[in-house]
Amino acid sequence: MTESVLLSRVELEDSHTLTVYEKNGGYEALKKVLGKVDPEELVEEVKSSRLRGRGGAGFPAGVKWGFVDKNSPKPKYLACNADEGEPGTFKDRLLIIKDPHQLIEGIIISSYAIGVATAFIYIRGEYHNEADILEGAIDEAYKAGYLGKNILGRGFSLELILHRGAGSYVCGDETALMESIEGHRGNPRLKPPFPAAVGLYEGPTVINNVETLSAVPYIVNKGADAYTAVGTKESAGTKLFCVSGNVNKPGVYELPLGFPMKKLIYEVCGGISGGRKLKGVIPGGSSTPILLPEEIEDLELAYESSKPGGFMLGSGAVIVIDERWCMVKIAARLAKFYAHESCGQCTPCREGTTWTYKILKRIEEGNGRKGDPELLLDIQDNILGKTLCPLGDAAAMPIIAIVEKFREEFDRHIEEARCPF
Amino acid sequence: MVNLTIDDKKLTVEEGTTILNAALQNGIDIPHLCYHPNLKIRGTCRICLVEIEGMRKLETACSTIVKDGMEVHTRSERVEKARRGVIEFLLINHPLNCPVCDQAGDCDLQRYSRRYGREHSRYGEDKRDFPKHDIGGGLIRNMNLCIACTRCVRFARDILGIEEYGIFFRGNDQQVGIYQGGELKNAMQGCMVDVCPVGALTSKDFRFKKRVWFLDPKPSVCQRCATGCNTFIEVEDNVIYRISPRENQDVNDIWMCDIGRMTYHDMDDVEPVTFPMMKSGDQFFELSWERALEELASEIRERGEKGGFALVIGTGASVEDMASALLAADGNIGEERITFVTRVEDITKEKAAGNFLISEDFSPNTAGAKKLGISDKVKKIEDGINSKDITGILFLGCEIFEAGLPDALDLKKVKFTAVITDRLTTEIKKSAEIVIPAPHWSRKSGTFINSKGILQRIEAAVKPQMGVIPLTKVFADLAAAIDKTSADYDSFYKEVEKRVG
Repeated sequence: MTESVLLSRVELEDSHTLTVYEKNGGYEALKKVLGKVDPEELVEEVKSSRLRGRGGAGFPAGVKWGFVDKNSPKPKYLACNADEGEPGTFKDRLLIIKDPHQLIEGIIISSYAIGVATAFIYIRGEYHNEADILEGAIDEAYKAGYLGKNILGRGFSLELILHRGAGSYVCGDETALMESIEGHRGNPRLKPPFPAAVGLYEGPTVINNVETLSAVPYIVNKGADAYTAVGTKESAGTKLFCVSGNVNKPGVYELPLGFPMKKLIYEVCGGISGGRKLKGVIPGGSSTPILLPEEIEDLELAYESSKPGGFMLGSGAVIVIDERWCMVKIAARLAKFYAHESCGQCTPCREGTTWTYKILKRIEEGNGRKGDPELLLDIQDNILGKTLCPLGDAAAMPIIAIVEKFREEFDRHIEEARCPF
Repeated sequence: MVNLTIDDKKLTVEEGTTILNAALQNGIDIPHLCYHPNLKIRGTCRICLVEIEGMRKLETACSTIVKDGMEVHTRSERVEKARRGVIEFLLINHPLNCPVCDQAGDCDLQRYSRRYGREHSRYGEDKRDFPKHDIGGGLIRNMNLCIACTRCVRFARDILGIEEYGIFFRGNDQQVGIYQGGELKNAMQGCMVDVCPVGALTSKDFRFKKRVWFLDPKPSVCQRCATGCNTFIEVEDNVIYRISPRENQDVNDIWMCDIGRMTYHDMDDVEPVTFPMMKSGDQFFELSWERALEELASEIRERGEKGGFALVIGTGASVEDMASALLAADGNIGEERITFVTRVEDITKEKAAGNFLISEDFSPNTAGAKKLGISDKVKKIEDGINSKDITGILFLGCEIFEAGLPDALDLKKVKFTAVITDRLTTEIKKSAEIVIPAPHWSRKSGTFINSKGILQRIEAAVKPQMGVIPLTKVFADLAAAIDKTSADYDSFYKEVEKRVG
């Protein structure tokens, strides 16, 4: 296996403490660049590392930083998105619990590169322990002079604020996240303007995922070339994959991008539990369309393998489903989640998600009607691409895939007026 | 300027215009619900989605700024399907009760449903059901009709700047409501009803009183204070059912305050004056117009000769009425005996409740009085009353005061008081010897000058009551009666017009 970029310290005892972090190369990257390397050079370095946003969209991080107007009259901000809410995803959590200083160092270096004096970490409301650990690490960093005024005596100052969410999936959307930090309802904003132009408190704002920022110290330490040495042409470096569901060894695995999906399930994770047959794989968090066993045959886990409606790398949350499961039930459960999490501001998502859930629940309970699958697909079509934020697409895509790929299960439910599983 | 094409129509619009505005300015209708020209753009109802060449997704017309060479399609099958989808979503939980809904005829959802709705619903689930709710103040909230456009919330938060009203819960359960419970307190609640495109917020004062299509909106100007908000007085069969704001960017934008809206109730509990009256003992008796004006004329003549008669012009009167009063007073009442009175109130509370329109001058025409050269001599008149130099007063335009007469003057010391008014208040009953009818403000035409100096001419919204005649004619007759000549209306009006300018 290749060198670990993100998880090199997770096995160490007390890996979350400053002492352990410093003993194992921590804050070396910061010392190397702060006040010594020109911020623009740093942005270029991250650009050439081809580091892509690990939250799900895969947008090149360096390019995102480059969008920020250097001469903005308004203060610039960095927000770390730790609102890990996508069902199946639990990678940022590991990075926060086991190596919070790596994240903090990444935030400081990134802030220096972008010219930010105030940074935020927006952590999901349900992460109580994680927030406590992060808070502790931030305190340690302040005391050690890595945060606050005149860091390391090199003339750069940074305030880092931990902001806890209140339990809303949609706040993982960067514009809703900003609304929430500002103290408003977590409703996504219209784009444009994009956050890099008008973001937090109307200042230019960069929002990066925990995993993205945690990779920055490595890139700075070892150089962009070392980072691009692993992975594929368009997907450099390693990625954390959270595997859950019916596998023998679920968990978080750091693997080079381009790693084969089949190998992940059958070798890394020890295969399907109980030696059962694979029914489907949700490849990148609950909002990505489900894949049939034949679709993962030669599938490489990389951004360039993604295509709308087909495989999506997403957040790297692989949910493995074996032959025992009722796909209508799974669709209903997914629909329930999105109906519950819809912020409700825009019509197709607010009404469409709940309607979808009601129909799926009815079918699962044995009260399905002829034409329900077609109706479900048409409702999804009226949501897909019609909403203000990506939650509408996130809700519609998995349902479309399940109805299309497991149509006979829906028909059986309706014909037999019961769940055949 | 930016050149673009909408539905094959070549347009040139100003830079920074949105697609929706570019379309509306050029007679192309794009349906919209959450968009409101005076509120912040939210782009959430999704019914204004349009297709733009080169863009993968449909975009909201309300929020997309035009670009040179842009090609927009508002009628393509893709767009029409999206609109039908949005309308279907908005109707699945809607009770579809237009026939018994007060908003019918004035409802954007109803209008668009007719165009994009299905004949038969595909929705076979239980409908969401919220109880109807009195949210205090002047509004009734019916969440079953709400389409979550947040216009009311944006009005309360962004225009009023009052944090008392917002959205509770989320997704399909969301509702608008008042923070920490309680009751709606802001002073502009009528505007929340105005901006609501559906029947979710209705006015307690108006709901179920009249179908909107029967109403005839007559352009008018609010006479409650010196701001002079532009209004529609909505009338059927000579009865006013509501007052609503009329757009004027220079005065009130498209808003008006609740005090102004309720002014049409001002005659609900008072006795109207529809014929001239004279007091005998404690009772008023009806007089003919001739007798009444002769009595008044002789008082003015006799007391005026010794400088003992005063004319008090309340600034509720129109410029024309004031000018004709001045003309009648010419040579009969000395200039130092003519004053205007205004009603000034403390509006701290109103301002705090978000009333950004109200003026502390509770009279519509103080500027008009000043323009005619009338000045504030209330102090001198008071001195004259106290020194018994003034023995008679004629009041006009004093309906702005709750008592119908200015409280500054002690009328017990005045021997003769005449009031030209539309209402018989307790105070007038107590003080007046002669009462001459005046048309109610909704029933007269005239010119008013607001606190910003903007001159606004209004027409009567409602026909005058039987027997009540315009004050210009009353003063022409009075002038003739004082001079003991016969009235020459034409030259009197000409002179009035000259003074009004």
